[in-house]
Formats: sequence, C-alpha cells, structure tokens
Amino acid sequence: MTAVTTEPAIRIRDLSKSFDRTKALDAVGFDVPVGSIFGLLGPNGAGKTTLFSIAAGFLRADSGSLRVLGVDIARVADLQGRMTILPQDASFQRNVPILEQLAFLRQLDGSDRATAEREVTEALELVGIAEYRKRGIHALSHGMLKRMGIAQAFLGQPEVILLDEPTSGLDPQNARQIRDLVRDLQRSRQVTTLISSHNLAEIQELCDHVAILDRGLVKAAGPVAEITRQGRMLEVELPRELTAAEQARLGEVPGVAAVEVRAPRRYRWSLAADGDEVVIAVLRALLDLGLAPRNVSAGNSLEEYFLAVTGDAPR
Amino acid sequence: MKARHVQLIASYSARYSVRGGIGLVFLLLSLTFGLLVAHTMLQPVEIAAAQFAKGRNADPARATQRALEAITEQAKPVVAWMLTPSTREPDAEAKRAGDAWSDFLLDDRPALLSAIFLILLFGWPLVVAFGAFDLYAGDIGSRQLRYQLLRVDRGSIYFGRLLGMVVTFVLVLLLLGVTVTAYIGLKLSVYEWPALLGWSAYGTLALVVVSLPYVALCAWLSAGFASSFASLTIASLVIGGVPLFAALGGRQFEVLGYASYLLPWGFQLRLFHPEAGQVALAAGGCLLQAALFAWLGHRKFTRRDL
Repeated sequence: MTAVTTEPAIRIRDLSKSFDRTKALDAVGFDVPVGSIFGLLGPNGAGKTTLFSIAAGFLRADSGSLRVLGVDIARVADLQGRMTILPQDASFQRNVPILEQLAFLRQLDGSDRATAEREVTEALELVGIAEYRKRGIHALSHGMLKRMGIAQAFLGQPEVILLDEPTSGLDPQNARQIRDLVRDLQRSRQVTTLISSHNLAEIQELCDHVAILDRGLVKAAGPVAEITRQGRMLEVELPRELTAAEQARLGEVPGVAAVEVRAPRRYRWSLAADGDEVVIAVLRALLDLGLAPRNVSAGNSLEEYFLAVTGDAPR
Repeated sequence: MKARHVQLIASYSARYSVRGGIGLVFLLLSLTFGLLVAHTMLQPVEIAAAQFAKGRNADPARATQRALEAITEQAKPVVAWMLTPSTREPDAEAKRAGDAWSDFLLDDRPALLSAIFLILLFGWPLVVAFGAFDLYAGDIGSRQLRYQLLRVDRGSIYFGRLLGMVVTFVLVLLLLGVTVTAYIGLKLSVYEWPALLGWSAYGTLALVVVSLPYVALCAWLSAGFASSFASLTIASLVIGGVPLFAALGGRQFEVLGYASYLLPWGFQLRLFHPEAGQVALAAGGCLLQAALFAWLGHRKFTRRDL
C-alpha cells in the first residue's frame, strides 16, 4: 500500500551525527522518491550504516531532519508496520527457535499468532531456509542468517524497506534471488527500498537512484542514468585487438580526445564533447574496419563515477 | 506505549528469560539460595527434635515442638537485635520495640517461616541483581533490540521486559514459598496449616514487594550500559555497597547511616512489622522507589542510542 503523499518517501535535510570527535554525517541531504530502489554507496566508514540507523530510529541525529513517509523520525513509533529494516550488525537471539523469534516480531506488527506463523513460514520459504524454522540460529550459516534477516524485513506490508548490505556474504544465486525479490516488491506494491552495498555493479543493475557518501558528506545524489551519463566516455569490447594504425585512425574521429586500452580487446574513448554524434561516428568507424562492437557502454559506469568522486585509495 | 505490545513483550521475555545461560544461572542461584536458607533454619530443629525423641521416647511431633520452642527462645535476642533500628547504642524504648517485634515474628507467627523470610530479606536483593542485571544491556550491546525498534515504541520494550522480569521473580518466589511451606507443613507438622499458609503467602508477597525496587534499579542501570558485565558489576556494587556504606559510615557519622534508605535496605524489614502502619509505610517506600527507578530507566532507555 503506497502512502498518499506529495513528499518523497524519505527526505533528509542537513543531517549531522558525531561520535565523540568523529563526524559520521555532515549536513547530509537528499530525497528518496516514492517507489524507487535507492542505492546508498560509500567506502567503509562513509556513514552509510549511521544514516540507516538514524533512519530507523536506532540513533539520534545531532542536528538536521529526516522524514519517512511524511513522519519525522523523532516519532519513529508512528511508522510501525510501514517501514522495516535489515540492520547490518544486529543479531538474533541464540536460545529461541527461528519461527518463534520471527512470529513474535510479526505479532508486534499486529498479526495473531496463527497468521504470524504462516506469514513467517512463507517468508522463510521465500529466502530458502524454511526447513530450519524450528531450530535455533546456531544451525544457520552466515549467509542463512543474512537471509533470516531479510525474511524479517519482508514480513508484513511495509511501504519502505531499508536494507543495509543485504547481499554481503551471500552466494551469487541467493544474491540474485534477493535482488529479484526487491524488484518484485517495487513492481507489485511500489515499495520504496533504500539499499546499501559495496557491490557497485549490483547497485547499478538494481537501483534507479543513488547517493554517494564519503566521509559523512554527500558527493552525489540523483537518478543512476543521470549520474552515469555525466562522464564523456565510450567503452567497447571488440572481437580482436586493434593494430596501432587502427587505434590511431580511431583516435582521429572528430570529437574524440583519446583512445585507451582498458583490457585485451576492450577500449575506451574519451570524448571531447557531449552528444550522440561522436558515439555514432566512433561506432561507424569500427564497423568500417569490419569490427562488430560488443558490450558497448556510453558514459561512466557507476564504479568509475564512484572512484572519481571518492578517490582510488583504499580506506 | 500500547498495552498489547507490553503484554506481548512481557510474556515473550518471561517465557524465554530462563532459557538462556544467564536465566538458568539466576534460577539455580535463587532456588539454591532460598533452599539453603530454609535448610539452615530447618536442620537444627530436626536434629534437636531427633535428640528429644531419642532421649525421652516422646512422639516426633511433640519432640519437634519442644525443640522448636527451645531454639526459638535462644534465637529471640538475636532476632530482637536484628530488628532494633539504630546505628547507635539502642535506648530502652528501642529495645522494647525490638523485643515486641521479635515476639510477634517468633511467637505469634510460624517462627521457622519468619526466620527464613528475615534471612532471605538480607540476601535476596543481591540475588535480584543476578537475575535482572541483563534486562537490556546485553541486547543493547548485541543490537538485538533493533529488530523490534521499528515495530514497537521504546516505552513498550522497556516496560514489557521489566514486567516480564517481575513475573519471572514472582514465579520463582512462589516456587520457593510453596516448596518451603510444603516441607515445613508435611515434615515437621508443628504448625496449623491455615497459619502456615497465611504467613507463607504474606512473606512471599513481602519478598515480591521488596524485589520491585531492586528490579527497577537493575532496569535503570541495565538501560545505561551496552555490556552485561558492566551492568552486573555496577548493579551488584550498588545493591551490596549501599548497606555496607551505611553500616560502616554510620559508625563514624550517624547521618551516613541513613544512606541505607537510598534503597529499601533501610526499611524493608518493616514489611514484617506487627503494626499495619509500619508495613504500609515500608510497602509504600518500596513502591515509590520502584516507580522512581523505573522512571529513570525509562528516561534513559528512550533517549539513548540503541
């Protein structure tokens, strides 16, 4: 069920939070549109988890405002049942069966006991660990625990889901399944999802909007298409390597600033100007050489843009 | 805060509180302490009764009665001293009051149960610290509460867990009371059942009332830490340290003796006073302190980072 509101699903303004002398968030501000899948990117220590924790009411901001579905997060209790979260570093109880723990959470949402158990079983089936429902968490691997956390985030009818590193520690099949689930929820129920991940390719594939955080500051925020279009790049994979003469000829196409070898048979053209004309001219020159371009991408990849704004150095 | 949430959290918390390691330790500790105190009181009576019966060929019930009377007479001065409320040399009036109080407990009421309750009162607050220190601290540290925080308000979590802990204490005390009462009634056969059951129920209720402020104090302290160990250490030091400080300080400066009133230590014995007014004051003090500590804990829990 989507809230009838003119506001974005999440509105963040001048949000700051410090831990002792470390500024985790510094006047952060951006909007998460209703029904979007919004990626939150940033290197380690950028402030992503702090932002998630404030959005969920775990931590109190020092200043600024954060509204979810039109509700100030200071009144997070008013969002009961409308927002769920997969926290990154929260743990489940060791001595209570999985079904009991999740059914209890669902009962807190308002379900009766029988309904809660049925819904939990369905959610566990969705993430593939239903057979463990009567056992304790000691029976689960790290990836299964993550899936259990995801199952609890998908319980009920949330309008906003916050997923902090949902696919870290999952094998590719399970990671794919989680991405599909998020997409299905967006399509079928217009659920707004705020998702953080270190996997930039995953974010680029899944999200329609992103924000990039670095050292507590927002470096960029907006639709993924807009952000990746900002780079004047054309990257192409070819069936064979270019000769030096061919490379020189392709570098002379009007509007091309330079040609660079990125990997065997993979080349990148830096473009001197915006516009499709230069891209078309390069592709036409390749075809004239009898080369069929593959895996063509125009503009930056999210990874390139991310590295450009946050720097290459590991943290 | 919603009543349904408080009730759900309380029942879940009470149901699973003894399943964890700390819960089991508390259960064993409280039952061991309670039964040990009962055993310490009952064993001399049983030994003396056996000697009476052996020497005089008396019937067992009569021998137990005689042994109990003899032990009670010997214990009266000690009990009267325990009940005389002064840090100085007590005056004649205070001594008379102490004697009257001990007569009430040892003559008018089943003496064995009175003795067990009095000794339990001295140790039970420390047992409470072991049971209630981890109400929130461990889960704050491991961030388990985060799965609940978007589903319920913090007040419901705080009071739900507090209520669940109180329910657990009531159940443990009931189990203890029933066990000791059944043993005294069936094995020794020296008291009438109505008197025994009535005093047992009263004593158990008094222990429940005394537990409330200590549980609330532990809740307050536990809400302030993100470490079970820190919470246990501070709770034990505060609960054990206040009477120690009052006793030692009171010897030097009388005013320091009143430090025991910071916790129910200063007045909790009066729950077993013969005068109803004193009992009401003591119960009121316990409830007032419980409310104060619970409020302080709630204030801390709802304002802190979780």
